[in-house]
Amino acid sequence: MEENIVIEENTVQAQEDLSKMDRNQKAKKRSKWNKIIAYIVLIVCSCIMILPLLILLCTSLKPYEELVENPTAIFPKQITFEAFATVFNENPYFVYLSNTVFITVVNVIACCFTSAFVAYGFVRFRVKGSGFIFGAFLSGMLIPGQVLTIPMFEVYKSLGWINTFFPFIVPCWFGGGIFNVFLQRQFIRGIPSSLFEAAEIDGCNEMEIFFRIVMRLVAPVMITIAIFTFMNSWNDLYGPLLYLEDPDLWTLAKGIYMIYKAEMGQMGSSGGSILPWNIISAANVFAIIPIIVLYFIAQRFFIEGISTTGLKE
Amino acid sequence: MKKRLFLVLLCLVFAFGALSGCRGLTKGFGGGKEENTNEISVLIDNKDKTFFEAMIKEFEEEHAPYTVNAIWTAGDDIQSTQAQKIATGTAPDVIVGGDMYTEVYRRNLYDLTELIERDAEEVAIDDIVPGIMENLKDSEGRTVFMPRFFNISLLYYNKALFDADKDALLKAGITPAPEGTPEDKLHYPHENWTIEDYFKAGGVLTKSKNDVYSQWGSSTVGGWWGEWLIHLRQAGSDFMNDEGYVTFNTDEAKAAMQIWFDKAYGNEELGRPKISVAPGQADLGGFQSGKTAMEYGGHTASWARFDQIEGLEWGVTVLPTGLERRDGAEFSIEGYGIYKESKNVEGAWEFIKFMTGTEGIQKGVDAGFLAIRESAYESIEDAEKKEKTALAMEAIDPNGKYGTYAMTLPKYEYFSELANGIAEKWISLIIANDSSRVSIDEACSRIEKECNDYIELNYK
Amino acid sequence: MQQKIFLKRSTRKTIWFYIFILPSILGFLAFVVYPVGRSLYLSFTDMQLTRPDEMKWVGLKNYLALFSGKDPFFWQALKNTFIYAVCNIVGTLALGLLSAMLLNVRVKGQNIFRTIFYVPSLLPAVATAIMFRWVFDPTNGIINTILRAIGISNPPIWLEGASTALLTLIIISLYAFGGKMIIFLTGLNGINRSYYEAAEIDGAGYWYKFVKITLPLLSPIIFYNTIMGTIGALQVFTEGFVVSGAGPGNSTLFYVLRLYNLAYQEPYRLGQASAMAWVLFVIIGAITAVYFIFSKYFVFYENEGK
Repeated sequence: MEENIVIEENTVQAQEDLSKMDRNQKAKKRSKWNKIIAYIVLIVCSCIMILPLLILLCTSLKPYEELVENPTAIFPKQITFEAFATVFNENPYFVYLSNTVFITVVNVIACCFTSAFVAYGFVRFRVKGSGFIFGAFLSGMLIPGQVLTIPMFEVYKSLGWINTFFPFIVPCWFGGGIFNVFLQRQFIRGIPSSLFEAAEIDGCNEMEIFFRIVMRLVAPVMITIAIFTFMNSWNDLYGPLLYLEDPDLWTLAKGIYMIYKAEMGQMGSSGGSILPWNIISAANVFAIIPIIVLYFIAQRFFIEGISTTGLKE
Repeated sequence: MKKRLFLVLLCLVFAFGALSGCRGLTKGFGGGKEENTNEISVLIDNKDKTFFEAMIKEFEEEHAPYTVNAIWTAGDDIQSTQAQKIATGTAPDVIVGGDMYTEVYRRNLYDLTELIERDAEEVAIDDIVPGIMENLKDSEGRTVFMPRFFNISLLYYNKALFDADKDALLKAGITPAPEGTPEDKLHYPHENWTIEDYFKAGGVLTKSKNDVYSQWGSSTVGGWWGEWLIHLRQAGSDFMNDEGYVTFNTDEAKAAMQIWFDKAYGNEELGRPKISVAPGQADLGGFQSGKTAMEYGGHTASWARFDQIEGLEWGVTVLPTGLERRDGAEFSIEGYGIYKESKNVEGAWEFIKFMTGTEGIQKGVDAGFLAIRESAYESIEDAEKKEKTALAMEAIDPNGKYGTYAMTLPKYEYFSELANGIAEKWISLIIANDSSRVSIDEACSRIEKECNDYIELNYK
Repeated sequence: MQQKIFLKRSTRKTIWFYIFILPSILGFLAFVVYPVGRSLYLSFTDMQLTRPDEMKWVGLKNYLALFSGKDPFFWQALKNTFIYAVCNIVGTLALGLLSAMLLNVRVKGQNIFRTIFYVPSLLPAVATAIMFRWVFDPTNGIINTILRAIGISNPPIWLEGASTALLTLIIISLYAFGGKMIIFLTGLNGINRSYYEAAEIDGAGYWYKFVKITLPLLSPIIFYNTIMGTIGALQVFTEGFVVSGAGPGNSTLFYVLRLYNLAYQEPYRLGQASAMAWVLFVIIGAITAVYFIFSKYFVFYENEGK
């Protein structure tokens, strides 16, 4: 009796093994096909994604005559930098760039520092009502920017801050953005409080604790915040549109936009039906390059950063 | 190591930004605003950079210690940028404007009447072509602008293209040219044309094969600087009535819009061929490319440009009579005024006198701007240019041959908001080439309703 | 004497707390509380920046004007923005999810593909907008050139046609799906493999695995990103502003664009603009509330019971 059962079990086991092998093989084949199809789709999609950028680059390298002659061709027959030369000569492009760098760097520094500063306060001190205060701050995030910008525009005008950098570099020192404070808070919470207490016992006051200990430890979060602040500041067009009038003060975003508008405005009034897209593209290329470079340097942080912000669970 | 490298990089970047943006930095902190009461700021169209740079240099030499801070702006943006600067407290000393802007800038302009009287000899008001100065007064009778040049809608035609089809044109049933026209000019557009003649000629001159067009009979210009207002007025009506409200749901307006539509799509019933480009079709470069035979309305500022184009032989005549009358050609004057709260009124006034005085206008004419002073007109050497200028001057003279042919834009401060913001949208939908097209009836009634609602909401 | 120097520890702590919080408090008061109050007030006036002395209280006039149709732009702007937002969110989430799943198939060079898909979402909106303006040019752009080459003789005129302009902007906005893709990639990685293996043993096919395992487990991520995406998409500005302004027939007039024109261009009607801003606030709030209410049915958290 038992032998039968054992044999049956063995047979059943053998059958299972066989079908598992079968399945494995099928799975392997399927996965190989999967990969090939995926590869093909990925390559096609990549081409689609790259195409506009490629055209941008190629157009910026074409001489104007080629553009008029054969506007639909992609690759330039003759590579020239005349478009870039025009962009730089006729516009204070360098100034745009440096203005943007200045504003962005100040913003990044301010946000990183201030958010850590404030977050430290929230984490370290269990004052009654601090949760409520934090919640209040957080609720400020829900308000659409438009509601806030209109009165501030009024204020800036009466302060005489229009056409200066102040609307850009002042607000970020006051808290550096609630979301950043939130991120910092999450992170600082992870620092064992024994560290702080030990320092306190050693005679450090809170400021010293903050500067010596916390600032050293928040590097990862800082980088994430730095990256996002950088992106926001660099890409911002709304602010410059509102607050910067003098061409000497424009940022890159407004600079490219005005170059684009200036060239487009030639439409009714200049000869030829092709706009100088090579000049417009050249200006554009320069706005794009820094971001791409930054990405390649700090890839890991971009990905980590956006994952943590996107995964609210 | 990497961290330190990063920090070093950061410092370098920051230093770069700060150093090279020094000029921007001082300004960026409100620095450059030291009271320079000898500086005159003014917005200038960067299209005319060469001309103005030369003029500014001369002005600064002759009228030291005054200096000019030219704010180069794209032509289309001058008005919006100027309005923005006034609103945000950084108004220029000299305000660019003209007849249409006497109401728009009503609160911001300095009364020039006394200054003109004071410097009457220099200003030489009587030298200015008749029909101009009365249009530069605001509703309280104060003169607020000094004129630099004017624009009058005319019919432009490409002589070469007309010559090429001379026979076909003469056989097209067009109203004959006035008595005494030389033989080789019989087929050209002339002052006795009607709007139907315009269509007929346009039809002859529009060439296509298999729906691909190689030549257009006429250009089409949208927007309020364009044609629809002319058609409307020539039909006997106007955009705004005396109470400041809009009238557009009228037969005249619909007939005017019909002309606008027929140009792009033709009209079998009324016997009008398609003569102009519809949205989505290649416009072949407009009148200046030599592939469009006529330009309806146009702008006198383009005369200089046309002259510079090799092989473009062009002529002008007054616009053809419309459905009811010939009156209605757009007449506008561009000039300079002074900002009411300018800190440098005297300097601004010197600049204005320089640019709009006899010499300034003379130089302007040499550079291609239309003569707004008789003296400048007299000095024109080129016979053809002189003839064209004479035509333009005649056209705007209310006591001249064409009477009230020239009409300025409605003098309401909200005209531009209505025309540009509301009417423009519906008018462009009339000739839309896809499913978004609206019927003329609907467009007209919508325009009237929306404009009047807007006026009610904001101005009453 | 010494008692005065050594404050109670808790008081000291409280003082330090407020010192550290100070920047945020000031910022909150100056940049949140004040603007909210002021803009609410302004929305009941006819304030114009250029004529501040002529300001007067008008009550609900601004709001009524918006809703009753006296303002000819409001409803169209709202409609345009809604269409854009819906298409954008659905599109970017779908593309993000699909591409994340594709990348998950562990082909070689995964990093390169990831870069290619992600970087476009980092570029300044101005730059991509201008770039696509050329790409979609009806006569000379690459899109229509390709279409003509494959035989479509009358390709759509994209940004110049009132019926196609909005569609074009939506397509352009999909270019930035990369951000969502990264989020989904991380999310997919977080799904326990054992779920899939268990399903495979039961003989599950692709579709089943997707609908019963992937989607539910990703639902919190999808939920959060839908909310954030909606809030962002409803405030779209740059794409519309740069590429086409209000567009032919005002077809690309977005809500925030209309607000910008109203508030920051002649004649600077801050009163009406404030009313528009508050309406937007309420709309966003309402939609978020609706999302939360419906989240019960669509969002599954791993910690909950089966």
